[in-house]
Amino acid sequence: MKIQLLLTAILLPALTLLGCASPPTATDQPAASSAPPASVASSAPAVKPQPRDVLKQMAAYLRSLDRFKVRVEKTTELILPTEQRLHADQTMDIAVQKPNRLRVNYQNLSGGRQLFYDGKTFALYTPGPNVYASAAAPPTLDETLSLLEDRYRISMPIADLLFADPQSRLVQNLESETYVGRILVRGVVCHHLAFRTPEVDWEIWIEDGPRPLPRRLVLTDKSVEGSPQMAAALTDWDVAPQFATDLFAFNPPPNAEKISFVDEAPAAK
Amino acid sequence: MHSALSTYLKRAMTVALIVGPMLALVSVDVEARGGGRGGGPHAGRGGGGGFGGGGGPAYRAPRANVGGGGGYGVRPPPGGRGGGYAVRPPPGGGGGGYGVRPPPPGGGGRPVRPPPPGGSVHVDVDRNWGYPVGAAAAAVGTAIAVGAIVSTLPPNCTTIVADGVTYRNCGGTYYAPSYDGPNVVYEVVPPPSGWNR
Repeated sequence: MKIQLLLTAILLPALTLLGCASPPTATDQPAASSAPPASVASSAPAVKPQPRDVLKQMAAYLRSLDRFKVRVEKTTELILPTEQRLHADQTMDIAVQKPNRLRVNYQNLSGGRQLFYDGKTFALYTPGPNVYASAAAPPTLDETLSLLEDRYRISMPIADLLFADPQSRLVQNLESETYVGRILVRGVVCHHLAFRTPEVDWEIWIEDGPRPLPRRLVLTDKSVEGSPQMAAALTDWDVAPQFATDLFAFNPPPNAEKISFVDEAPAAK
Repeated sequence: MHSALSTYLKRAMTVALIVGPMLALVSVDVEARGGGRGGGPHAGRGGGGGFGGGGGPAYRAPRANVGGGGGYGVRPPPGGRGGGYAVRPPPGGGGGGYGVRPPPPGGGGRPVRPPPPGGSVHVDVDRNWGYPVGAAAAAVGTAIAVGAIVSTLPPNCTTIVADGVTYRNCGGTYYAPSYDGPNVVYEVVPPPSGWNR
């Protein structure tokens, strides 16, 4: 009797654990109902694919989408002066509607922040201190992403994948390209590719099948001493999302305070 | 002979008395700036994203993108504001000695990309605790200079509006919020004109 109880006590949590650990194949693909679920037993291609071809398929597929939604779970390695390495997590939800709408929700414990681009202006809103800034933006997403990065130092992780032509941004300065093989990433069959440029070693995992979506990106920045890494998982892809009409336009909440960017003309002085 | 030496010593003392506090102020200023900015051309491989209460460009971080060429571009030093970096002593004492790494061989003539500017590293940690990024943050509270930029405010601030600009008054020190990259930072400003503390 006692032994039976003991067994139950051991087995129950173990079974629960097993249940949790099973690959989340179904939950990860809410929009994949039309596409066949990735089959673990899917047959390998007869000929080893060229890495650049797989990249090209992904780029073409991303270009073909007129809207999409994706969650990026990013881990950035930080090297302290003591050479201790820390890993900083960030989760952000990205919504894109071609050709010129973007919305990003950054999550953090102090309320996060939101980025809006509606084709005419962009706005950054930080609900914690209830402040925002906005500025005129170019008419295309590409130009706006460049402006955000170059002028306002707002760099979007995986921005390469948001550009109209991701391929052209990804294949620059390649020194080597490797088709590593196929592997399961969170239950999805992916092509695993590896590339090298003089400054960055990077890997990408692209879904194998009719939806060649990027599922994971890892880069090692060799231009920084110690070569810190950035790893991003791209989850919850939705390639046919329904967006609220006001998702991309920023309307300042009551009492929100407009502030400037540090590099703007110092209006605060 | 003896008098010459004592004159020399006196001069040295005078110089030390004047320069010493100046250096101290400068270093505090630089550390505070680093919390938010961190990415000037002279800042080495810092690129601090600003957390932990203005703790300086205390870490090295990778870029967030594969690239595409010309992504970051060389940013000109911010006019009149980046002066603090130029006088920063070379890292070596306690800085861990991270300098600019030479370009990898065979780079095809591509210039070495500057470090990602501070704001491009999205680090969102719970700022009430911060990361163990060094003792710089503790120094900030003792002598905070106008122009210093911090990522968190001291407690018990009041909001005031002068000439349409909003400030935070924290115990008589005035801060103006602004975005440094995607992060909200607070710059120490002189008391707004017409505002009596």
